[in-house]
Amino acid sequence: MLPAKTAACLKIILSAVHRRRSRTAIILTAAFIGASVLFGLLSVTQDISAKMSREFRAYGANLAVFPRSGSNAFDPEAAEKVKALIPPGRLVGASPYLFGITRLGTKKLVLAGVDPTQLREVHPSWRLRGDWPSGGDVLIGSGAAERLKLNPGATIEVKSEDGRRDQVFRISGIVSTGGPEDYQIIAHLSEAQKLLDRSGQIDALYLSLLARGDELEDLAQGMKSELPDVRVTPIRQIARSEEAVLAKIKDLSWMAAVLILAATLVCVATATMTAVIERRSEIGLKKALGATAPAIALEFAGENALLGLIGGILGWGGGFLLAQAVGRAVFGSDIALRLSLLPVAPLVTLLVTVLASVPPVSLAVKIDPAPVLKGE
Amino acid sequence: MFWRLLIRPFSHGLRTRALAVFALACGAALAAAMLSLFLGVGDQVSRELKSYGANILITPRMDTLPAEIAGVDFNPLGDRRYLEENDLPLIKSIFWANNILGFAPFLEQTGRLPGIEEPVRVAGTWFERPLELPGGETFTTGVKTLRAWYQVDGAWTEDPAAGDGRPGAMVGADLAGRAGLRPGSEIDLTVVSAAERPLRLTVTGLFRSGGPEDDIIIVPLGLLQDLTGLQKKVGRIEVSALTSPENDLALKAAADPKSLSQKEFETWYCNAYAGTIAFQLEEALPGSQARPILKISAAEGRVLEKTQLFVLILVGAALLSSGLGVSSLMTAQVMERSREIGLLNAIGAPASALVSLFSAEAALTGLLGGGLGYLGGLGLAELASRRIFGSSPAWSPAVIPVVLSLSVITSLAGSLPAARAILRLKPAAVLRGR
Repeated sequence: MLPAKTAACLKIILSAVHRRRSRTAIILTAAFIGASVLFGLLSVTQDISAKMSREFRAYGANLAVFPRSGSNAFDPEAAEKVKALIPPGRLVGASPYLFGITRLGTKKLVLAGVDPTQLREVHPSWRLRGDWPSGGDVLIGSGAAERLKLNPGATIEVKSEDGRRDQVFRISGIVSTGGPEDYQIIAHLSEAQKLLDRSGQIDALYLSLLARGDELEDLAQGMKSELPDVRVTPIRQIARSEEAVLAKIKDLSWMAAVLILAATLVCVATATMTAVIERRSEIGLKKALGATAPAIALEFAGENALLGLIGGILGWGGGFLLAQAVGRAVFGSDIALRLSLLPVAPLVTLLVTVLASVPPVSLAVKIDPAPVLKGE
Repeated sequence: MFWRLLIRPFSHGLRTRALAVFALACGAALAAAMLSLFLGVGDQVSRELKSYGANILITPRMDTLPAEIAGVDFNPLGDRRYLEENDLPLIKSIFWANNILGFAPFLEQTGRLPGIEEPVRVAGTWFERPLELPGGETFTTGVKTLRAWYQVDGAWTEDPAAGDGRPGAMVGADLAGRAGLRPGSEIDLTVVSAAERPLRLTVTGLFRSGGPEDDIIIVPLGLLQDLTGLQKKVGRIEVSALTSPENDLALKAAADPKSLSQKEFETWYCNAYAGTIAFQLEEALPGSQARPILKISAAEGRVLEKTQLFVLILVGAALLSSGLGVSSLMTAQVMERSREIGLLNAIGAPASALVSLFSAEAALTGLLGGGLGYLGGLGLAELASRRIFGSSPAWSPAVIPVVLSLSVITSLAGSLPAARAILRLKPAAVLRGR
């Protein structure tokens, strides 16, 4: 059983809600919208780092592993060890690299040995005419292809620099990157090792990881201590820009959430204020009949608090839908529902609606019964 | 009569009206602030991404194919071509000159440092060079702006005025670690050239880039040109430009510029795609070839597109929530004046006159609120933009009519349906207070 006083209070508030349906509707709507947007934005913001990280992977590798200076190469086993140190789900792609000078007819051309199955993951920005290589096929850079008048499907004979070894390849596609790859032949690592007579060696391992900032640095540090033979460098240029852009996006969403809550506050405050002005005589009468200032304050603030709480709870649904809409529209994937965020929306709207009651309540409390009842 | 009725709520029911204007002004301020921020967000984020490196590379147009591994060219020296240092200001003469945020020329050669066995890469460049542009402006550019992400221990080297003291150099952190160099150390650098003689340089600072450059030495461009006998020559130019995200047209142009129709070409030429700016740079600089660095420009495009879409949704959510809130407040205010409407109706005012009275009143309230809100929104946008991006927001006159009409629409959408609903009731019922 509720204590009698509380029960009476609730009864007054509920009857007030019932009698003034339009104001109830406004405050409830305002609280609902405020809560929906807040909950939706919070859910999106929690997820946005992970989702934007995916987009940033278009920059390509963000971690490079080289042999310790002094030696020119390291063996692929070390590369496997590096990959084993990466937490599951974080590796987008990894490709070993081996570079060497080869000859194509009379021209010198750089041959890059890679893992062709990883190219698309590590370099999503590459533009390809033709197909990704399979079997013993190779890719050729657009600059070289243009100069040598080569098209996908053509075959080329690549010779080692000293002319002792040679191999015929079919070109599966022409790649343009705007980088040094535009003048390279990109072949399978094992073919490159054979042609360059460097079996079992690689020059570098490039990794594209879903990690940034301190996390990436920690990962690099971990690899360095586990594998003393290699040099691990996070490609900071990319990591930094990722950090900076994510920070801006978060700031923007916080600002939007605060502004929207401010709009809710103004709306609830003006609606309550309108009610107080319209019901001066009723308040005056209540005061004349002996209602104390706290009782009148409680009637307005209590009603608003109740509406804020209900609107906030209804906002879960709206916010969830909003978050999914944003996720689909911007990133083409769903946003995870975070249970830890659930209490936030109703609590914040409760706070906002109670805060919004302060100016109208202070006006109501100041009403002098005598002139109001006289009808002035 | 109409005018007296229209003005009355503003003079008599002042407090209620002031509340409506205030709520509308708050909504409009929010709209104005979000719209101003949205207009600027593309440029702002793009600038943010730009501080992390060049997105267009200009190289000399060559007959031979470059055969470079880690910056070392394996082609014979005689085959190489160069760009002219004196042509560099032409970069700021293209159609999209204002989108060029910075550039730096590079000339590279291998050299030797005592105590280091393998050859080292030496790059000559501009550090911070003021350029006199034809328009009379000065444009300062160089690696200091282009590579703003470098962590420098010590100081940036300065571009020397002619015959100015001992020349400086900056050394990559990895190389410095191996050679035991620190800021203030002196090095004897020998550069591969016809007349090989060691030159004593002072290390002004070490830099860490987190890339392969951590193994190179950077010196003033003029110094390396003198050492190699390549006076006024430049090997490549890195350009950082503000670009717009690429669309189908840009991709079509990138695949084959000749496939564009005349009209498509004109559209493409007048948009700041990375490909367009590269094309215009190639036109401006004799003997050059310019290409967007795809991994930078493509990724930038994707990130920018997502960010803009997200902010657009933020703007939409903000407009919708403030609009709904404010218009429901307007509804409540009309509802509470139902007796007045009923009375006017009962004494013979036609419904159409009442509807136009209320529309005019709502529109006036909307205009007033929108105008005040716009001014408030300017301040809000300035505050937010300074806080988030550290610069003023883009001011666009287009925001004024948008905010005013949104405000009037919100106000009308809130008041009119309510006024109509009351008019549908019998005046007697309304007057009895039902």
